[in-house]
Amino acid sequence: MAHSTQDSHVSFAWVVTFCVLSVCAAFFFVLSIWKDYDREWRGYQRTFREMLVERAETEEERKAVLASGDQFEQIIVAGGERVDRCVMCHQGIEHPAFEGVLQPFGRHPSIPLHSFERFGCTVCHQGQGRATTVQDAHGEVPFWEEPLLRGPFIQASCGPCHAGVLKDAPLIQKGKVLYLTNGCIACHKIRGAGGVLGPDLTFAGEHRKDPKWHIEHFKTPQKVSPGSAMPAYAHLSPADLEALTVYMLSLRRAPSALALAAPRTK
Amino acid sequence: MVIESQSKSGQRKAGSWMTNNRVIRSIFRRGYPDNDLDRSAVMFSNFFLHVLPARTHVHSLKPTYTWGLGIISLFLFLILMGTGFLLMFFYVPSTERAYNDMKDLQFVVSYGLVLRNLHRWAAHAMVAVVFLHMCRVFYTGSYKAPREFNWVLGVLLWGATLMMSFTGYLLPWDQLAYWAITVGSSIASYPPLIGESIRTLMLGGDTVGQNALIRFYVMHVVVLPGIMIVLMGVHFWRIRKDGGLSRPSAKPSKAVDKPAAFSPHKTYMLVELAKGKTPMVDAQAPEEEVMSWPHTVFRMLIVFVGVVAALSVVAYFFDAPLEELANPERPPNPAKAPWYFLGLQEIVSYSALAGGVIVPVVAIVGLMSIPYIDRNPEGQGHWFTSRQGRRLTLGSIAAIIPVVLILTYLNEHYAVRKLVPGAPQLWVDLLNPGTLLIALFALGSLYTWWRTGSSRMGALTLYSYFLTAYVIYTIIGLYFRGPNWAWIWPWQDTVLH
Repeated sequence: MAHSTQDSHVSFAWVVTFCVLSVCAAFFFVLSIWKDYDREWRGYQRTFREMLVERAETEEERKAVLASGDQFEQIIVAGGERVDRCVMCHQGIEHPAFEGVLQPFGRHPSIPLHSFERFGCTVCHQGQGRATTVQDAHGEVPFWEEPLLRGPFIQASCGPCHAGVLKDAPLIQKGKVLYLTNGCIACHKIRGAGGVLGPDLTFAGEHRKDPKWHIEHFKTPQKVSPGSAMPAYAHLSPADLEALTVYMLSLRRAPSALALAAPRTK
Repeated sequence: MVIESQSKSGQRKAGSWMTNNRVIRSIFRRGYPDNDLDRSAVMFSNFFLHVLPARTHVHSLKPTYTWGLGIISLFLFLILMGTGFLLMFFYVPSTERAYNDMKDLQFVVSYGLVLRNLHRWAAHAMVAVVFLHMCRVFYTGSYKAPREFNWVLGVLLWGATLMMSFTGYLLPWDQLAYWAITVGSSIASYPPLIGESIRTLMLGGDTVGQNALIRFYVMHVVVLPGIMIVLMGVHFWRIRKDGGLSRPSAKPSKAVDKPAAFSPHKTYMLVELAKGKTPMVDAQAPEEEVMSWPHTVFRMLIVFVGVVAALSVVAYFFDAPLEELANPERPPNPAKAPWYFLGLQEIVSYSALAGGVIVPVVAIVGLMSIPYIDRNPEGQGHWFTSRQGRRLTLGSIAAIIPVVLILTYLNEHYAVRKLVPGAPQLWVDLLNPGTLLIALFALGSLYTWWRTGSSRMGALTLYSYFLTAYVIYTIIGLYFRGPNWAWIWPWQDTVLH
């Protein structure tokens, strides 16, 4: 580097460095903007619109669909205690034309008195209501403790509000019987009745909300709960373990979100 | 003040109206500077540039001398301010909302995730870069007269940076935040007598809760940035007043003209009354200086663009961590402090007194007093002062690595309480790797001072000892500590709860 007071220009190498770094910064700036725009749910909404166009009965309907764009949607339950954005992708849950269509666009079976506006989605299905990507929303990611309840496990969600025998959620009752007949009650107390050697299970479903954890725990308790004195229940059939897990998951307080005043629809 | 451009050629060029029109001139007072007078004027007539000198010594521009670490710290601070302001629009410091706000930043706020990533990674980078800057200043002997006090300000700024990072750590209100702050604040509670009060003052209670969150938030967004801005202002201003960046002295500084006894019958001008010269005057070396515009300013611009580029790459590929919602009933095992305090946490695991009191106090007080102990002006402006200094630095680092590892191993298997189960706490506080190392460091550096007859060599040795030991303990805390703070290998699988 030659230095003199007359040397009024920066060296070529520095100018090249500046240009290279600027291009790199600009490239990642644009990339970040694109990453922010290009969200997963947009793709689902696009597909849904295509399906709507196929199902359109009149030309006006078709035009209306084509004119609509991506929309941000959410169900706010009880003043923001729960915010469910599942409908961003699951666009067909209330649409009559999507009866029998597979998820993510299928219509949700209507359950009397359980309107989506009042209850939202995650109160029954679990998962991460605030999330807007498939994996995060289904809660099957690290650091989220309430994964989506798939298959029979959804029955557990009726338990917190509905006491007694439910004809649409038979696994709760089956699990309860298994709890009474397999000796669980000897060590574990539920609502005041039972032994004291193991932890009280009155709110077991609040402590662990992942069905996989419960099944693993019944098979080999020490694997997920080191130092546990509980004997293994691996000899029970998979169906029985499933029922016991549903019963465990059902043991929780009624969601406080519903106790708060919310407009009752119909 | 309008200085007419002395060269008309620039104005004749096509497009010169872009840099030399009425509006531009009303802002900058001149067109694009094409002569040295204008280049000087650019520097001292611009509010943002006037803290820089009009001319810069070429030594100060050598990338391998400063590595740009100070200016990188400044740019990281500015980026943190910018992203921080934007994040404040989306964040409410309430235990009920904070975590949800993090989720909303990630999933619904436009550019929310990239903002949070930039802020998080810039904060970690700043902790590291400020520390490296301190190492650079130390190893080039730049804390020596007349820059002693600026070094002290630098140590304070380092402390403020750590506190900024620590207070920000709590705000996401997830498990990582909650337990890191719980561990960090308990380290602060170990000093006898005042420890508990420090923690209560910090947390607004015994445990981390809403009170702690609002305190940390106010500290993070108002108090500490305010303190840092003032300290940084003085830090930069003093660089100028102390004669610019340190560099090897070219000529022995001339004897200061002492005014003769004042005559009561004469009127003196101010210049006659002023004693001696300022370091600024001493620092003049016109033949080795270049115009700050464009040389210094353009290099600063390059560094800025480089920092932005590096951060945007990292922020694009790596998301800021966010664990489960904070749960006071489910502590992770082990609960770890933020990474820059893991060295302290490791020493706390030997002895709370050593890790919570002795090491931090010795480190802070020692760092601040170094320029007043090592007053030897030798080797200022040279990395490691001399060949001997470089040998001693590398030698100290190489020598202390096995010592630290052996002491850690011995403590793992033959700790005081393992040999004598009922040993009094005093034995533990005296005979643990933390306290023993401090004693060893003191002896080693005093011995070096005595053998070389140079306080600078002693200081180099001491600093290298501390630096090496702290880095090793941070790595141990980060990768080699598992449940119950027991030793694990990084490849070992552990069930975490």
